[in-house]
Amino acid sequence: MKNVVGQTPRGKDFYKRPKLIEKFYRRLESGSNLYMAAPRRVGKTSIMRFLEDQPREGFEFVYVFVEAIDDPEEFFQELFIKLLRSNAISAASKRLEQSKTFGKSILGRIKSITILGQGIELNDGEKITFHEALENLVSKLEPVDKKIVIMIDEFPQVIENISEKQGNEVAEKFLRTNRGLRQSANQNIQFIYTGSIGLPVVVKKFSSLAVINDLNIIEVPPLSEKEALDFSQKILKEYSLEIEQEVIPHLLQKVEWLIPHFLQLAIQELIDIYESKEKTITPKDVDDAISKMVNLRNNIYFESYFTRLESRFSATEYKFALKILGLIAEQNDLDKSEILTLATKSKVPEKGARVLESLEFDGYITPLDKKYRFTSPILQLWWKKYVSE
Amino acid sequence: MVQRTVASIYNPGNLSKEKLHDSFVVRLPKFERIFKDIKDADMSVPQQHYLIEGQRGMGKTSMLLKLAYSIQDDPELNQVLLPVIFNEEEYSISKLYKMWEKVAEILSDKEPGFSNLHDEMDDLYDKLKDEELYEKAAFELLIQRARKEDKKLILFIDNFGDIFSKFDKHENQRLREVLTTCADLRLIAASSVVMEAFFDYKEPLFEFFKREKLQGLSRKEADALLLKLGEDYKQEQIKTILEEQPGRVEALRRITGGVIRTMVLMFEIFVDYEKGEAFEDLEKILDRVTPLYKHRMDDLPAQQQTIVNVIALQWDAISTKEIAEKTRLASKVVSAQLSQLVDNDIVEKVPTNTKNHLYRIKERFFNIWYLMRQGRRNDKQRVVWLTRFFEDWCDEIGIVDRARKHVEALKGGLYDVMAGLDLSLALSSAKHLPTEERSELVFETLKFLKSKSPDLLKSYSRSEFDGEQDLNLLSRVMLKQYQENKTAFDGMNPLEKKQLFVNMALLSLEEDNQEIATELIWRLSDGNSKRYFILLSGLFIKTKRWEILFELGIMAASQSQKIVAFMVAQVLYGVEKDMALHLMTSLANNEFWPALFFQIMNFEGTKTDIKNLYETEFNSSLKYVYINQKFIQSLNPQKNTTDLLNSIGSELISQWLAKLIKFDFFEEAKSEIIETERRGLLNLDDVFLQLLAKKEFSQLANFFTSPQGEALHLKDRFKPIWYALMYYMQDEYPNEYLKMGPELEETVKEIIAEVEKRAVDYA
Repeated sequence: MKNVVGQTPRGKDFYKRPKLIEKFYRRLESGSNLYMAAPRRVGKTSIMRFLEDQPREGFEFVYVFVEAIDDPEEFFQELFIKLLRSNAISAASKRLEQSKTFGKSILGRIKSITILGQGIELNDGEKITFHEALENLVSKLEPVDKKIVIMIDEFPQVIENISEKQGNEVAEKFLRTNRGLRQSANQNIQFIYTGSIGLPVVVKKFSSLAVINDLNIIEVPPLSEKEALDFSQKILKEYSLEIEQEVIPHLLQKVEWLIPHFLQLAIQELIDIYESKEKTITPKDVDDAISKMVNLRNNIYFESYFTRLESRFSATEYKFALKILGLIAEQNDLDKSEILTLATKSKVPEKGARVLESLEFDGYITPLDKKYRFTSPILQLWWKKYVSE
Repeated sequence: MVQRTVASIYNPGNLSKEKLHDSFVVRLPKFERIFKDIKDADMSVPQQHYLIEGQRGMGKTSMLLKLAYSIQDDPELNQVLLPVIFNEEEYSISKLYKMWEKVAEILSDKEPGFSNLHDEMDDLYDKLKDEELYEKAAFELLIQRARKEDKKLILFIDNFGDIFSKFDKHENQRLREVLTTCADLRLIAASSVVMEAFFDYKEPLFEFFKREKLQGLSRKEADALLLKLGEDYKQEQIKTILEEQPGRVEALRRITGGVIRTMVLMFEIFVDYEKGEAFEDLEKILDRVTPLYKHRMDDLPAQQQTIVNVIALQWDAISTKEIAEKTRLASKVVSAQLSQLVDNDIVEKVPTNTKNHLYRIKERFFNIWYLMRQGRRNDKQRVVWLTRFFEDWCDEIGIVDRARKHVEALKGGLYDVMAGLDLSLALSSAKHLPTEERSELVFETLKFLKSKSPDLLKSYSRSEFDGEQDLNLLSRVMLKQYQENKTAFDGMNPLEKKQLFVNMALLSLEEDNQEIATELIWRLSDGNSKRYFILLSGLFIKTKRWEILFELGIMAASQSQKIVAFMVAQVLYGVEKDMALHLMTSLANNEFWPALFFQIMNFEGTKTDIKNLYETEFNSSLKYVYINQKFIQSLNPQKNTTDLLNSIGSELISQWLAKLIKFDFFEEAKSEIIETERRGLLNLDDVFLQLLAKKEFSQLANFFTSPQGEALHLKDRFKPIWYALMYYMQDEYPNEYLKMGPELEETVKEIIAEVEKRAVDYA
């Protein structure tokens, strides 16, 4: 298993988490549309890619990456075309062709689609939007003995893009349209949404959560200790690193928050160390690796934890978020009550809780016995060094 | 002649494929790992993209090229993968679509299957007229063509940060989309990190890259690099050094921060014995990085600029306290700014055993640039980086050998002037270069500069003559040269020439080689015999060689250099009275009035003698005293000699005045007193004490009570003397002594004691 950092690991580089995958299938089988909730860099995209690459019997997955989209119609076009080109559709559409309703269905009427034009021209000369086409497609399509799952990655980003470019109203309408789409879809067509920013936090900005309350939330936890051990062993084996026995347990202890990404980063440092010293890796090397990660201002992987705060929050919220993160980084933990008092003092009384919730959701901090602490001690060290001061 | 490597290290794109493979001797494990990753990938899904990071000169571009060439050379891989190598600087890529166009352009030139792709994109642009749509379409076109050719593209993009920073948010998202979803394209990028303040990694795109840091070379890698360089330059000794003196390699590694380019650069300067071309390469590189580095400095806040300036000029690690002293900033302020500079990777902390850490510029090449471009032309500190290299790299035998080679090169005259000077400065400042070699080097540099660039010579000699030590060193080597072949270099300015030659003569006197000393002074005098005698006597005075001085005086007298001889006699009078008088006699016989005057002062003259003397030569005698004092002072500003002459001068005047008073020349004495007091030369107490000691009581009383004495207010001004006189003359003036106030009693007693003492001496 290669140490894939940043890019989505696929195929044999994907670390399988059977229990988690099982959970996905169970939820999908129950007919739910899902929202995959997890802090960034936990491995959401790779799970979707795994589902897509190696679907279970009776499932077809279509993955759509929408981050750069800033217009509703463009969004539906992307979905429509991806769906149309997928294996999932070709089988289902054959069945549709043989049925009586084909002539009335959208597939039967499409004359030409040009990705460069606006909308679709039908046989009878009628022009419809991609939204209409997509709605038609997902409602009329009848996949038998198969579920088609459309996985939409970076969905919250699209909402932000749209609200930024076209205003909150358009964004809110876009959310409702999506909800409508889900509701009109055939029961064998389902959706998984996810993204590296929390959907509820984005939605709350300009809409009621009702527009997404039909989504079933599925959480992706960090690796268990056992998984993390296995995960690390598999990667280190790939690079033929000679390591002392204590190295991996020590590594896990240091990383503590066992998301694949942080483990991969630390392992990458170990590989670097191994390459330059060409000696068996010791627990001391693990400490060096961690300290290298932390003692680098331009740590591109940590930097984004900091910079994205600014875009996520309003100016006062941002200040407040920095303040509490600074305090927690410095003192190791902070009482929830104290944080809320601080919120009042920082003139964000009603938003304090929201900021806290958002930081927790995004994996910055974790509650434990009514106190908050950094989820990752490594991020905490970096934060203390480069952000707080 | 071996092709110099440093030039190509800056621009490895200029190297042939074979040469690049051949010179790629370090970072092999990293290369192999990445290459294996490329080789193992079936490219059916989007692959891991790489970002190779490191300071400038760490070998990023070489790594990119090595990977690209290795793909081209691999018979299996080149069937599937098509490497697209971007130029090191692609200024024209300001839009994402231009990146696709660049790929098309590169492929159109090289790959038949892509031959018209670039043109097709142009057509598409004309048709669409919308940049966003066009970007997508152009990308689609590129990918479709690659699929048609059954090839996957692997892009090698240098300085990716510079390109990427020009993209807007949407393009950034689009690129991320492409990189996460497209399986037909893989990106291996490189970017320099340290101190590039204008570029930051905040964009989420970078999280999608696997970062490969190129850090300073390890011990092993440094060995491999040097071994390779040793081979290329036929430097057999490198192998021995690696085996027997690993500490030297380690020192080189540390001084350069393990940056390949800097290590190679220093090595090449070291082995560039003939012409100094390695320096020219360095200059070219410095020119090229100047805009970047200037920008970097300009971006710093003013206080940080000041601090960086101090640290950079120092080169060696420096403490907060020293920085505070040199910048005149408060220690607290310095500490705060330093910690920011450290965080921003501009400065690095060098831990010590104590609480006080040291600081130095992190990117050593930036420091070299700073010294070379911001340092003063002839300041040795400008090349301190090279000096430190020599100190660490060479043992004593090595540095002597290198210095000798440079001396030969300077003699050969083929060395570039600037380079020759820089190398001389660096070598001559090396702590362990022995005196002899150092002096020879400085001397040859002077000669070299004299023939090549008189302007540089001037400023160079000024800088080289800074301290006494330098002067001695240089004189020593020049003296050696002179002893060997009687030639002496004299192209410097007159003052420096005088310092040097006098010093050389002094050195040869130390070696008891009077002949050479005399010859040197003769050369320095340019045939002017007065100057010759003066310079030489000064030399003898300084070294207290009274006998030779006496002989010189006699010679001067015989050659009508009376003033010089007189001056010599005066000096001798204070130390070897017999010699002085002997010399004076010979001068007096020569009707030299000052000498006669001098004699009279020391022997008893008659009233007529004094009268004659006063009427004929009085004024000029004193004049000689003054002039000689001034003259000797300027020749030899050492305090002792001046004191000696002053005392001789005032003794002469005292005796002269005492004699005037003794023989009733009150009017003359008065005007003499006025004149000498005006010049601040006279101690009248001494005159009166002499008269008292010689028991000339009534004569002294007469002078005090004469109209002249009254006019000078002698009784009031010299009350203690007067009462001492009255003590001796109680018979003549019974009441006068009693008038003395009690406050004077003590002083008068002291004067009487002094008079008694002198009376014994005169007896």
